[in-house]
Amino acid sequence: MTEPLLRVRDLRVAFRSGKKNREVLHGVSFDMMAGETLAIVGESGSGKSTTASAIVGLLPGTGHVTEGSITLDGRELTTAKRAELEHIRGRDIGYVPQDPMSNLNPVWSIGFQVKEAVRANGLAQGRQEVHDRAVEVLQQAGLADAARRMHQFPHQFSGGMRQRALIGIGLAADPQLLIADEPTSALDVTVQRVILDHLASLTSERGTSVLLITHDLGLAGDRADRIIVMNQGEIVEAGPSAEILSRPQHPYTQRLVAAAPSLASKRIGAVTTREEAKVETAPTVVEGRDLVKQYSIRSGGLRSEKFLAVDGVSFSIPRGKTLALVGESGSGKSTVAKMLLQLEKPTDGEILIDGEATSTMSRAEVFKLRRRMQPVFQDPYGSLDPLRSIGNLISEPLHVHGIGTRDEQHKRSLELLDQVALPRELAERYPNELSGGQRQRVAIARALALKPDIVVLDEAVSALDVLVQDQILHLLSDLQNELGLTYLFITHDLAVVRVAADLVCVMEKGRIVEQGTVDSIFTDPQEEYTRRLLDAIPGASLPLGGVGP
Amino acid sequence: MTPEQSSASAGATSLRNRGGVALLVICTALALVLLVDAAVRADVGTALLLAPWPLLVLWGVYVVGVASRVRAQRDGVFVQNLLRRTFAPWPRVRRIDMRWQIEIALDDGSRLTCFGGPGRRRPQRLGPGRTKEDANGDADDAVAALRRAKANAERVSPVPPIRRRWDLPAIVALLVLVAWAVIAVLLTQV
Repeated sequence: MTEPLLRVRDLRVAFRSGKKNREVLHGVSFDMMAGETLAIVGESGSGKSTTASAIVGLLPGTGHVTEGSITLDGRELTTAKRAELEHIRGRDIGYVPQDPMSNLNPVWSIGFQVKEAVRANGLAQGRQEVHDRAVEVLQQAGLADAARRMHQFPHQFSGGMRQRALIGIGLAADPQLLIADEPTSALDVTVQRVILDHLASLTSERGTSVLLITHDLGLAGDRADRIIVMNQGEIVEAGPSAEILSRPQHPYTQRLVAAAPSLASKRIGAVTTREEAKVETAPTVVEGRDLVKQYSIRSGGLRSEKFLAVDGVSFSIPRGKTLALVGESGSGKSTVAKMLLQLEKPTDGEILIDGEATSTMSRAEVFKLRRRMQPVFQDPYGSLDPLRSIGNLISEPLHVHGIGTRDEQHKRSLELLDQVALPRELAERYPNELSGGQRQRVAIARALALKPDIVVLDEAVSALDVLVQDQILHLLSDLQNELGLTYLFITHDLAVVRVAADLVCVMEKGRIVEQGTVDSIFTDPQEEYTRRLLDAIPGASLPLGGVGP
Repeated sequence: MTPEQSSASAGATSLRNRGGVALLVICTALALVLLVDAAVRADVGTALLLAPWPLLVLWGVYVVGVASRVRAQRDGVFVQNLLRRTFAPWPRVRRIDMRWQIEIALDDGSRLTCFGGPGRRRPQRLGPGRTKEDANGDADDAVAALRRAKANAERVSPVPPIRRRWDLPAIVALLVLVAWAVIAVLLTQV
């Protein structure tokens, strides 16, 4: 029998906090064979990324391995000296980090950063040779015009291109093992598919083993040979992908599989036909008529180029319904949301709220309108002020609009915490003490503070893992049924649309290419672009969401 | 009184650059002080010889800061840019946008840039690290007011044409002032 490439045995990792050690990995053991793709799945905080960081010897802060062993091709990594580890990193273990937006240095060109990796791994010597090798690395990562792009900076690259550059850097030295930590979680489905296809072809050509860390069960099922399910620092289940997803044994895995939305899932809180008919006759609350948004992009000197972000978009949302805007990054979804929220002004066209045109509203009227319309943004880490307590954050809209006394505002913030199923004690705490899911609940509570009837959810569940995502989607559905809210739901995840929306508009390059009810679009897509989006959903054929294939 | 002025009855909203009227008042007071001072220290004749120059400055301030304006009327929009006056009935107005100033697209394909209306401003600094967020609030309100007037306009048939004229009273005043200045120069050279 062949020896495994990577052997992890009884790995325990702890973080020092004062004089105490807090153990976060409790005896993790697994093997990885050469050329194998292994996925570690689990919710946020389950220890996936810590396991990967321990393997590559880059545990953050006070993290350290307290027990166990990690051997790569027979070499022990837990006792390896710093110089040895530096030699192993890059050459033997490649690493593709999670967030392409923040893992490239914004002040250095892409070329400089690739050359740095080439030099550090000793892949080439001499200025010209290093340059040529860096170009080759980027070309292999799928950037066709690499020589020209070498001089560009990260902000001039799209998310997909940045991730390709990071994959190029990770694979530059032909490592035996590539650790990809949520490599595509920030990307939309079609770019995700292209990137993962490319990664798969590169690694299969070279026989590289891939340790894929993800919270997306569909993606793990599609791409990995085996899956390891982690919960609270322990492996709860491991086995071949298809078996884990079709016959999960452990209750936690069963919960994960049931919570993962898929194309076969049903709308949360689906209404009966009679109720449906009632809702169909509901009056239109939000209407967009031929919306156009054009930006001027400076192209050096006094010159500027016109860029059409939204091109003749029309839609309407009846009261108490959810309209999902879906499409790839850059298709204009968020621009539509900003125009609805009056954060951007349409170049042409009109937004009507309850039949009243917003373009003719004065500042005072727009301010009043904002009481009725509230946003929940994608990133709960970025949308909550870290210097304000949770109670203060939730009552801020009441303060801005001058509603109630300080005591009344505080009372309302406690009521809202109850409404989003968070304990009242959190009112005195700060955002950094909360998990991503809890923060997103706080963002929702803040959006509900003014009792709005329209909520704009801009990728509000995209950054969350399946269990938290499922909780938030149920919460939104309950609130909609209770308070009759109207949602504009913006997402690139069509599986989420399936469970959360009634109507859907598919956007491509600023235009709506198809719109209708979720059922009609998902069962019979008319446009090639919609079909491509649906096909790109990872794990479309897998039995997720508690539904058989 | 021109037809466009006569129709500017109740409900008309005039939109000007902020500070135009205030600047005219300050300049007028300053000119008065200078001329009275000249009359007291020298004599009335000398004050009359000096008068055209401050009055020319006042004329300039008036034309740029006060006469140049946008007015939303019941039947259309009246725009004065320096000495040029345009009146466009609402059905002739295609779009009203804010670029650097208010810009009105007309159905004859022309664009009317309103020099005298509220303009785009840079975010106002309130202190270190603090800026006023709605620096363009006045401009946004102006555009909204024009759009509201257009939306509320009654339909008329046939639609009157767009009228473009010169501000004759201002031109006559300028000619008078220039003539006065020339006479003053000639008299002082004799």
